[in-house]
Amino acid sequence: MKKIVRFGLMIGLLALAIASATGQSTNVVQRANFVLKGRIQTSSGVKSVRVVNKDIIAALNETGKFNFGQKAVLSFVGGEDDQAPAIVVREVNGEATTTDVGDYFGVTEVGSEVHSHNDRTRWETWNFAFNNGTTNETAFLLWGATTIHRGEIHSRSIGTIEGSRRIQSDVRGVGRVEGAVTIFSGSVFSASSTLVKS
Amino acid sequence: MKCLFKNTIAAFILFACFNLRAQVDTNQTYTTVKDAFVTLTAKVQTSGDETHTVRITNKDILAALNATGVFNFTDDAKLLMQSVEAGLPYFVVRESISNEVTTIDISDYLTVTEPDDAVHGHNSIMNWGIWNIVLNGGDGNDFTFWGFTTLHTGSIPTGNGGDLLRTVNLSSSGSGSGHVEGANAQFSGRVIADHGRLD
Repeated sequence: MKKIVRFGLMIGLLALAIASATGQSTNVVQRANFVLKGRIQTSSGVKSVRVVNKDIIAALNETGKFNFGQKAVLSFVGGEDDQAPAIVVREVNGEATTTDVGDYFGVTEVGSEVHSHNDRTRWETWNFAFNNGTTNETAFLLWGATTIHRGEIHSRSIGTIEGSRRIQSDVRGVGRVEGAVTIFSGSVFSASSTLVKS
Repeated sequence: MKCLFKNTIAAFILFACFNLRAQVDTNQTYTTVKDAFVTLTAKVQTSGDETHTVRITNKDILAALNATGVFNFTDDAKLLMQSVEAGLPYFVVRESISNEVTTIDISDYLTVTEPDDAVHGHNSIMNWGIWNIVLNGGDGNDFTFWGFTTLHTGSIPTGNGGDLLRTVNLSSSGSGSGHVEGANAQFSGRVIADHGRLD
């Protein structure tokens, strides 16, 4: 009996040592969807335009730093801490690749959150900042009332953690579409939370 | 001939007077005001880790301003948005004490800024912008609000037979974060201003 306990303890310590040595952490990855309506300044007045994920990915490609394909998707990546997530582009061409676009696209929390009793729902104000930095820039600063629905997220290989399962942000903001001043409104939302080791 | 000369002189004087009048009108600085209404809903964190919802209206804004110790507004005080020469409006409070009307600039405590350019419709009859409205009140009441702002232009009589084309009403819908009596709060709602008139 003593031997079994000792063996179990050793296995546990070994697992802990491996996890520490690799320095791996668990991230929650969620597909991000931007659905924005823009009112663009024209020489004769205003025209409306819809700005969605593919327009943002096209604007990222215009920087010359990326060459994302049709299957590229925007994703939120959040850690186990309480920080606002990072935005990445994920592509699957045989194997999945994750590209950091943080130099062009970021999310920050403004002010302090309010949360429900069991912390299953959080209400925050988020600022989305995008700028592709080209001559005819596409850029925006959006501010959104953001609701984060939290719960258990399970992965067979990683286990179960408590994290963000769904995000909904009602946004409005200002920026440029191909260099023209644009006022934006719309929503940003996420779904399909998965766990990945990083 | 004498009559023609007299008429010419009279016409010249009339023309000169008209020109002078027109110039005075052009150089005049026009200030307009609108009645302002704040209607926000705040989701507030309570000490027991619960949340409750409160409504924030003009009277709460005025109470928060009084709590700074700088102001002492009465129940009759009215929140207005004032604008000089069609510039970005700022908040003032107007009240009547002993039949004397006073207008107090509160724009150090309730500020309006526009982080970027606006978009203008045809002939600028409708305009759209993003406004950042910030309250720095006393007793732990503050917010930073971002609003999608729609501004409608209309005619405002100047009283001398002319009209000004200015914003006659506006609505700013949005959200933000801050505090209610020191507790974390998330705000949503709108700020509207209407009944634009010459001040």
